[in-house]
Amino acid sequence: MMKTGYFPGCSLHSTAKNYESSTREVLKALDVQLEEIPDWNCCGSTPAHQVDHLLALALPARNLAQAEKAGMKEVMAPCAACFNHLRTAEIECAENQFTAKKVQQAIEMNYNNTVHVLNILELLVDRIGIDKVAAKVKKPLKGLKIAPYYGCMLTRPAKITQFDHPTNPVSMDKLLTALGAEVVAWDSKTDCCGAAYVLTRPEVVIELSGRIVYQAKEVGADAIATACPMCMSNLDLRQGAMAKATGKKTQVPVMYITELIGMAFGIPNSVLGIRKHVISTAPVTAKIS
Amino acid sequence: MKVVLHGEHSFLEEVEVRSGQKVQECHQCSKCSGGCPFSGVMDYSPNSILEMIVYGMKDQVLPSKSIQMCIQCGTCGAQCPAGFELYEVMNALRAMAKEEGYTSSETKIPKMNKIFLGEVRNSGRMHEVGLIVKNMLSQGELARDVAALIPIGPPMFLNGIMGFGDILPRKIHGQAAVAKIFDNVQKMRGGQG
Repeated sequence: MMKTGYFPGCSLHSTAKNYESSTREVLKALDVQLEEIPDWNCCGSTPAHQVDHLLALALPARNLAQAEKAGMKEVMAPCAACFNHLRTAEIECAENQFTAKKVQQAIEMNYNNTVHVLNILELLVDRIGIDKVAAKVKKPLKGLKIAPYYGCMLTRPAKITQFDHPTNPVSMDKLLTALGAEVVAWDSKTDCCGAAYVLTRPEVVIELSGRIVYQAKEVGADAIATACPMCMSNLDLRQGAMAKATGKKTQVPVMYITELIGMAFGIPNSVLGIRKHVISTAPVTAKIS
Repeated sequence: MKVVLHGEHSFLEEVEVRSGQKVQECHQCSKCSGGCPFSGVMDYSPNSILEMIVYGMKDQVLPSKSIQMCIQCGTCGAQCPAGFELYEVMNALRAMAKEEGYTSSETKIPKMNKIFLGEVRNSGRMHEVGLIVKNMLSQGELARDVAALIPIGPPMFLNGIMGFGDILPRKIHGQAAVAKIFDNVQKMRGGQG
């Protein structure tokens, strides 16, 4: 039994409930116990870093300090943005004592930089190991072509994330191969979906996310795999708007990597929460028995 | 070309110190602008911003849309042959613009940021429904934004992406501690919001 600290983040408690349920189920099957950070707060996301750098470090640092107080050594954040912002606080406080002092002053808590932040792919590939994941596969994803989509926040900026390759990462590819799926080669792996600008510049986000979805379709992917609730929301929810903008109809299912792993582990779809998408995932689930 | 600027503390020097990036070493290859997902909607492309810093064009750079639009996706940095992280430059420029009271011609993003952080301050977490509704009412494009929600709202409820439990915000126990972080940061900034 392995134990790890857990930071769900705001999205996993609202529009990404299926990311939370599939993450919990998959890790339970892999004998990993998740311990949630007590009374965690929002990481501040893009708005905090655009508004004030100290605020952008202090909000995630309160979570790291809470984790420290609870005796955690590692914290896994499934949301790519939460991971990125928690890790930024970890790295910047470790690199600069002056920053660390200011952050402690802002949060009015001790923070000794003893907690290491991980993303979900890191936990699965580097800590648990592909072999252990492969060993749990009961229903291989044979015949499924998946486009692994990493977006920005898992691998960039590299000096913060220190994970995989900034523009050609392969961890998700390896996981999908271990599940028996066919990984399609494509160019949009680490392109930006436009993120929260969907609320301020929707036309730009429809275009950026559209390029990703249309390319997945072009290379014949049955589904796009993601590890980010923001990417999920742009890619899954906006396909109607993409079709309206381009005149080309599109229906590419977008799934969390943990939903795909859960399916391959034989965990029931209802437990994983696989129906919680706008674009139906039925064509994907129908192929697996 | 190396430009020598006079004055005690040039704009270039300040940006370089605050960002930790050697702006003068930019080769002007424009790879950053080619990769930037938002350069098409910026007023100055990222490589232009760098050149403008070298030429001391502070009054053009600090109120620009470009510095407000950088989302820190890191695409530019991953492609930069000079090996620097442009987002660090953008962060430094945004902070300088705020400190020196420049108003940006980009208003939509700062509005959304304010609403987002208001939600975090008030409950300790971001409340998605609250953010979407308040943002929609503030952006001045209500008809467009409501029209965009019509096709996705019902399937989101029907398919369980959102439920009734998501309508109201829930405060964390430490909400006051989170609000205090906002106050402390503001005080440490000398009262600037």
